[in-house]
Amino acid sequence: MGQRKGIIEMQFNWALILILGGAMLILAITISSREKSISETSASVSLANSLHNILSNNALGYESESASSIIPKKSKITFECNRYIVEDASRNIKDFILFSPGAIDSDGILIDKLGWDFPYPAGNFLYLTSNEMRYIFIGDSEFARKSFQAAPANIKKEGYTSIHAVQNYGNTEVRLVFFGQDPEIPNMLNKPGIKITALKINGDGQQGALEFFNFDNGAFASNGKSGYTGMASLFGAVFSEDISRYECNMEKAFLRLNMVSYIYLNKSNFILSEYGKSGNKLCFGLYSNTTKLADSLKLLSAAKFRGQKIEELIIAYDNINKMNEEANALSCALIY
Amino acid sequence: MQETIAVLAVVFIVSIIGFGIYSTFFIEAAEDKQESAFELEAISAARSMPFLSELQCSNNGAVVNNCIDFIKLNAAASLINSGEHSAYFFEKFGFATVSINEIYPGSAKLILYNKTLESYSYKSAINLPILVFYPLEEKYRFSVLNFEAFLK
Repeated sequence: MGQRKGIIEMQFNWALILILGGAMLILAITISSREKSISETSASVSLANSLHNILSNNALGYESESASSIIPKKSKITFECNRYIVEDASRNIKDFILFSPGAIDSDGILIDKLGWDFPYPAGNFLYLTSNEMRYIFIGDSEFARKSFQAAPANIKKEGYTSIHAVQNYGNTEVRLVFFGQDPEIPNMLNKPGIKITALKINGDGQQGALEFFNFDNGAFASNGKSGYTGMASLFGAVFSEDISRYECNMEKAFLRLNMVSYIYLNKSNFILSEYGKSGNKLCFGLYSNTTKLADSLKLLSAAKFRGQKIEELIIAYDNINKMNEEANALSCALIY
Repeated sequence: MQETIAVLAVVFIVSIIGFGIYSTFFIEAAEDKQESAFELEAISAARSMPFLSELQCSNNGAVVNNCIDFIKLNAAASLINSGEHSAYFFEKFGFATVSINEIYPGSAKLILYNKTLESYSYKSAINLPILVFYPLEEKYRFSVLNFEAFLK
């Protein structure tokens, strides 16, 4: 009887040890897998934050020097118009005017910036690309040459007068930029495994027309047509992979232009009233003859990227610029 | 038999207490991280203020860093706090107050942005020295930009 009791007790002990041991093992596995997942998310958040800091620093200030930055960990970063996603983490970029490809899967990210003046500073345009992307400018005009020279120096850029001179250097992503001519595929690049997109530009340094192309099934297919105002906007199209990305960022740029123009409209009205009070006839005379200036600033404070005639914007730009030069010549307070 | 159960019960209770302590530390660390991230966001938002095109001084198109144009500042206060664009600035600065306090030669104060929270869990205050430019007088005044951000 006593021997039987001992056997039952031993079996019960083993059962208890198994249950409790199993419970503790499950607890340990749960904690370690949670830690692993937290650590991975934390790495993505840290990378997303690093990129955000780099973008913020570039968006501040107005210096024209180029800034390149390397993200230390190779991660796929997907860019949408108002946010970017790094694996499990995403950051809002609604207040950045950022032109980029749809996704970057590389350990090198290049960032540059240009100020968008209209004619007063209306914001910084940020350009982001991977160090794998090859930009090929093709055109025989003076404007094509100037655009190639003005493009950020730290990107992989090449300029040719003829498409036939283009060689294959083994890059997997290529952006072809054509000046005044329809896109053609260079023979050396017509191979599988190379992602090719193209942009056609017709215009000058001030304004022009754009057409975006995808290369599918051995031919270029139009992705849509748009326009640009100024070189900063032109480079926005060069760095944007597709038209929707470009237009979304230009809409954000025009929203900034609206707000800045509203401020300058108020500023010119304030200056006019102060010169009226102070009796400075010369400057009051200049600022009271401001129908063109006020109209121009009103136009820019309500301008929309879509449906706005670019010619009207250029006239407004010239009016404000001329008025500011006159104010400068007469030693009156400047508009900008 | 009873001894075995008692030992196992103690081990189990100690494991649960250990897990409880671990969870408490983990939550505290997460709260610290949240506050630290909020602090960094606030610094970034405060730093971006003097660089806004709506405020920044310019001389014939060339911008002057860490300088705010007094006339633009007054116009911006109405743009930022009311009207169709106020939502844009709320998204950028969140619950915060921004004031410009003149230090020398005067002591004027202007509230540029005012979206306060009555009850908040954490507050971050940042002071940045800046210049305020008066275009009609062509004079600069030393000021401090005070940025207070509130975490819900």
